[in-house]
Amino acid sequence: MSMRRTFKLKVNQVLHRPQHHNSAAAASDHDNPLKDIKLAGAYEHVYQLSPSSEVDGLLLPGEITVGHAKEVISYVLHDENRRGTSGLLVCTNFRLMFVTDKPPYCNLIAVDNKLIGPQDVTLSNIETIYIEKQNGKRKKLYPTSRNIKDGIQKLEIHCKDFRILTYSFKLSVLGEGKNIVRAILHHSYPQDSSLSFAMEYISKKASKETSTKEASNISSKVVSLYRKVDDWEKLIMTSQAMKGRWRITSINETFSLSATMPGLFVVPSSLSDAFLKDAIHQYNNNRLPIWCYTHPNKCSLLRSSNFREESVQFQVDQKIRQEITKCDPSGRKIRMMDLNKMCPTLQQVQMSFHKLKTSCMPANEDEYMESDGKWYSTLQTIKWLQFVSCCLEVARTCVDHIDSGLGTVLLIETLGVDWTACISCLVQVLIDPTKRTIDGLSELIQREWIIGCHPFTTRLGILHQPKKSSKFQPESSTSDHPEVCKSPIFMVFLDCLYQILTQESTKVEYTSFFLTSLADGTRLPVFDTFIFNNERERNRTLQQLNQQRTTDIETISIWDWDVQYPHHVQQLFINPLYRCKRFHHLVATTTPPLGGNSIATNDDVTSPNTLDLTTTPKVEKLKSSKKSSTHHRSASDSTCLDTTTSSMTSSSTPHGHKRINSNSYEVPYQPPQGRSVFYCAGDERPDSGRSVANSRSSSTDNMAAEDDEAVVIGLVDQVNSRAPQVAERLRFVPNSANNNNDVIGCRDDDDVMQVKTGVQYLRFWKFAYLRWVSFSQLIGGGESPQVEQENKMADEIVQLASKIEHLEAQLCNGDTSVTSPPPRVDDVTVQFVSSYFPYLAISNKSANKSTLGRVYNFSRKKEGKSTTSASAPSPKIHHHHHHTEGKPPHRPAPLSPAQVAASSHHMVALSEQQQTSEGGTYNRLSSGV
Amino acid sequence: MWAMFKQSLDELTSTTPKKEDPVKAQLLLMQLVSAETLGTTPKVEEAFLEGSCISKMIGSACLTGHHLILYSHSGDNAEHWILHKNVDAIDRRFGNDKCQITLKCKDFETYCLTVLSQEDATNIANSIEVLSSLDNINLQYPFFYKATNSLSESNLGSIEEDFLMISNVSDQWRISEVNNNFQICPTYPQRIIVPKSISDQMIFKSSEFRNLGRFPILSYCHHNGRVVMRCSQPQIGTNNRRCKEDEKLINVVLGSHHRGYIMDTRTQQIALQARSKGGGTETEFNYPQWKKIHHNLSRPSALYDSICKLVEVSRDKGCAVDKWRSRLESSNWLHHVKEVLTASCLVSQCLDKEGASVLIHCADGFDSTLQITSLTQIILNPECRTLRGFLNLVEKEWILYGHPFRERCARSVYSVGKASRDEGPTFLLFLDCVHQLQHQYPLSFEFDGSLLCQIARHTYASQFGTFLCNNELERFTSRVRSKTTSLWSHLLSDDVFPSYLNPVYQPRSDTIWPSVAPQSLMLWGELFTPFVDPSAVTRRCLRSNKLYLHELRSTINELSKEVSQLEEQEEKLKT
Repeated sequence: MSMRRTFKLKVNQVLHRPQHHNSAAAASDHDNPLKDIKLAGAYEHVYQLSPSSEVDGLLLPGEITVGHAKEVISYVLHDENRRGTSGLLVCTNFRLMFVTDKPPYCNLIAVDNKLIGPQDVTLSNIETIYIEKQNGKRKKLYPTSRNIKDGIQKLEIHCKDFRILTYSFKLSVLGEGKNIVRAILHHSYPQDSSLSFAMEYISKKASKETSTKEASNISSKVVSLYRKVDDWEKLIMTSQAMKGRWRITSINETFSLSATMPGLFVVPSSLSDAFLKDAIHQYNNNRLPIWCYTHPNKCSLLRSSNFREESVQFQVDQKIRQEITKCDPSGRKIRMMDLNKMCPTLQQVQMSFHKLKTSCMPANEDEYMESDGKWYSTLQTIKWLQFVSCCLEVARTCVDHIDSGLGTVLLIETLGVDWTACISCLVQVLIDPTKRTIDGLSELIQREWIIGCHPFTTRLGILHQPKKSSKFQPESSTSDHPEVCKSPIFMVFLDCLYQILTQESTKVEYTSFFLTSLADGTRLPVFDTFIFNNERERNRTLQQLNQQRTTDIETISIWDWDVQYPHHVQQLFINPLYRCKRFHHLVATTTPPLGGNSIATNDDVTSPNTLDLTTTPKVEKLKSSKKSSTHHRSASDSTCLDTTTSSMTSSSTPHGHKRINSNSYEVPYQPPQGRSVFYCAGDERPDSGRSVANSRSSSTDNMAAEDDEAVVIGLVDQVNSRAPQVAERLRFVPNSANNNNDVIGCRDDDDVMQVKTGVQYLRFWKFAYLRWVSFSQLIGGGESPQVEQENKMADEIVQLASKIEHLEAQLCNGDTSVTSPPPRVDDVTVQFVSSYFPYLAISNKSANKSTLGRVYNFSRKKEGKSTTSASAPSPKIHHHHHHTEGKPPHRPAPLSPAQVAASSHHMVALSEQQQTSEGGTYNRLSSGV
Repeated sequence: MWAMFKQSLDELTSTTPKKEDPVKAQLLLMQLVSAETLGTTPKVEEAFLEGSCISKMIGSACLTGHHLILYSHSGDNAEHWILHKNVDAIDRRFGNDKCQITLKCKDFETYCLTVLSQEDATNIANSIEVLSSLDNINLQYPFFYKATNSLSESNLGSIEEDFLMISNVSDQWRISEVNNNFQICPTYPQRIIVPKSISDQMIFKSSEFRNLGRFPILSYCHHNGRVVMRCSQPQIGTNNRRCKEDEKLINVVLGSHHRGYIMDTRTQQIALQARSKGGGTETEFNYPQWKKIHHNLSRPSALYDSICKLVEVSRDKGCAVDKWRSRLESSNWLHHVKEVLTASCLVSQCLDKEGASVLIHCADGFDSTLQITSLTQIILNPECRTLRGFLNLVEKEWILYGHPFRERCARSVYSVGKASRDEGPTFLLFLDCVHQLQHQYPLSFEFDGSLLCQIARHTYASQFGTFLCNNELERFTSRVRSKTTSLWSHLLSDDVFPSYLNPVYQPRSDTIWPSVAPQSLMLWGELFTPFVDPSAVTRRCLRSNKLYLHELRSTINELSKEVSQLEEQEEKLKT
């Protein structure tokens, strides 16, 4: 609940956010629009006087200003009326920043990102720069462009995330435009990763901040980075199926053998280091077959590059394959999958992505609407979805092979760093439930993509490669060689994950927002995750940096979401449909997939790492809302929870540890082994269970947390146990005579996911590709509000549960003095959440227009031709409308009073916001422009 | 022959105590349909049934007056019923050792029945052919169907209720009996709401001026007092007829100061050409307070062609991956969806933003007109987004005001060539538009997509009498309302409606403006491609999502109950 509440506040803040550095007074007075305007007027002067000092407070550690322009007008995205806000445009070595104290006309991001503001864009996100001269000539700038003259009227920046930013220098001093454009151009295309901002940032940050880290990261567990042996050991030691057959080798620890292989990797135990050292050069790109995954049925998944064609030592390849075969006790044949043949080429993907980008960045609304008749055929010619479908299909083939126990699969690709990463990740997500959680998925991506040395720098075009102009003309690109080819394979992978999410939304923990955050993360050079081509490059760069500085610097990985998002935003990563199962899965991820050995389990549970598990957000909430915690639910109380009374018995141990006996009924939604270790351990393995209890109850805090968690789990169990009955109730499908008997069945989470891979089944990922196209959003419609609503329901359950706990506590103790839990505060009304929430935020004005879509457009188009026919009503409509409202032409109608009323008290901030821009600010601006 | 029938009847009565009274049905059919055409094979012991939506069944096939029934031999007592009325086309493929009959149904499903004897196959095929196209309304299945579950009194489309709502907004209206016994307009109900200041005599005059007597009549009254009215085209003809009463009738709705819009769902050209056939469109000269809008919407026959192509594509499982989307596009169905939504948006905009009343008509006033009036209400009126409200809307707009269901839904996509010009999925297009809205605003509807699917299936073949006739007069003559069960009372009955509820429903009180950009329109997977679209494919999975949400909902309810109980206890404790 606390999250929801803060969220409301945050929206409020974000609306005014651009920069609340001005003064504390300004921040606190946000609720009063009039005051805001006054302040806005006052600060204009401040900017003119000393821009740099104003900006300093906003800069990140290590960030320096390299250029600025005053009185720049930032235009609203896709607004044909050229409405904008004036402010200060600053270029730093990290980003392009727009600073204004005026409330923005349209709020671009509702997400509260700690690193960049809603109107900022990182330099590595900049794809193309266009300038417009006073004579209206538009010109594209290249990194090599030198000849930039005065008199730049407009600057248009096309970003890699499909966003378009437009600035005008009409009001600025002559020459400022030129200067800042030069600065942007100079800093946007770095040629060496050691120049990346991340290096500046981490070195400065390390010295500044010591350890003020709050433990609010969404994954309370630390994501294994797989740079240490421990991480790998945890991975292979816990699996019964792997025991003794696979080992970790460190032959490449110094990256002297292979530049593109991880420092540590897993190979069949029978292969000696000496042999591997010899064999490694017989493979393309020096990549040996390395282990990715082993199924409980002992079939494994491996990936490698092609065996060198010119090599004469065939026996090396054969020997390795033999040994891999031996790792499978049944000795099943290895299946080789040549991804070069099965997947599209890198160039094809790049071209497709380029087309996709073109069609998702309409210059104006007309262009967007005109795609009308041909949208589906455009989608077909783009081929993007065909490629996604292809990847899923290949992954499914692998999954079928492994899951049905036909044998080990070896993925082969020329370089072994692109599709092998994508396919092996997808296979593991589909086959292994533990990889479907946020933690599991993060670790998987870290292992397969980052440690697996996918060349991010090259593929994403982060560095400018001066010789080849591939960055700007992907079609005519001469850099066809896969080693230097730019190609968004990672984006294909994320799209595949999105398709899995849409098809099986109860089975994966991540949301669309998590995926787009990952995509955006690749353009946020603060983390060391996506800025290197391989581990060797990373190591060398960091070594150099360390040599320059005396203190050791600490890199930040993207999985440290705290750096980027506050806790309430991180909550949006969690799929609400999955959330209630989260507790089981947290446990499940720390336990061996097939029961495992109890010693390992025990260690796991008692390690400090897993103690953190109990402080999952949910539990924290419970904990905060309830101070007294060591009471027990009495039998009489539990009768209220009808159906499960008979099967659910609660008892208390001397330690206040509650055991829930769940063996008497089936729990459809939950991987049994996970909970059995955690809660029913006492029943099956008394010793380990007892020790768990002991270690936990050592501190009262832990006990409280655990008690709470038990309650929540009990709650979830109730939900689960009720499932069959609900299913029973809903099974009655009203039959017309011809309606047949459908089979309804809920499968277990443990199952292999069956995704449909045909193009027909795939959905266009609007949330990622169209999120900056403001007129394509729906207010209160689309997927995001539904997710919000589901979140609300999940919250409600937890809230109610804690309330029950609380009331019971009062009844049992007879103690009425205990403070009651805080009343539920309604969050932002769902109907005002946009379909691209948390990106394009609510802006009632643009809402009015965009949602009318074609209609509005229809009327406007006809306006020109209205002489020819009487068929267009709308010239009349709009004329009439403007006349009565007294507004400049084409402005969308404001909210009707009824609508405003409907928006109710939740949206006070918004409607005020609207009035502000409606009344003072906008008019002033438009006249100024 | 009789003996065989008797035998199968006996079996039927012993095995199927439910759904219909087979003896009565069969006897009646025996009397009415000549024995020759019915064929002589009522029962086949060994038959296989395969279908796109069922698993393969082996058992005995039995032919009754209204159904083809397959009893499974596998011991699980499974049976599958196919209503004859649902069969759209029959394909016969007779080989030496087995004979296949493919039944293509109006709900786009296909079944394949395999029997061993050629004689049996021919008989079955012939019988189904005859029985699926019985014209006599009294032989239709709804007249034989007895509901087994308890039904609720639906009382939808009640004029009193409607009038009460309107009276809250405006006192300018009254209930008139002018159409008693359908004397002035057979496609309107007997009791209607008309402006207070207009006499019955004037309405009579106006109805003479309008095509089919469909004079301008109130459809929806917005909360700002502005109204949507519908009618048919005026019969201006070549000699420029005018009708003062008609002008008065619609002007009085406006009041003296306001202007309104007349939306003609034909192009200006077509509307003017209609004059040569005695029709036409209002002239600005005679209706100075009104502004004309022409928004071209396709005629039912064009929609029919479109849906045929669409179903062909969506059911083509072997379609090349690269072609699928462009073929879908060339069916033009989504274009029709977009046009209807656009027109409805425009009308809603006029009403809500402009504060202007709108009069809508096409040629007859019971096709595209009804699409727009009903969608406008869904966009503007939150009440219509509830389960009951929606059914009420369908009853009120489509059933009572004369959408010719019998003509439009006699055949479906598989009888290309055999279908008459009157054939056309107008109503289906409307449902698709509602589906688009539902997809765009998943929280704003109390019901979910499966309700729309059910309704769509029932329009073509049903055990309920709701969609039987063309208009109220026909229903009155055949006594449909008293002799058959209503689909609405079934859907609203206590044990049925909960399964159609949307677990994430969040009532909102304002308008929902749909997006008509192509990127926002989706193919209605649940109906057209039930095994293809991700939203419905993994049907099981989809269901389990929904189930899960329902669970959450019921958990919330139970927990709140517990909370209130506890609170009560605590209160007692305190006192």
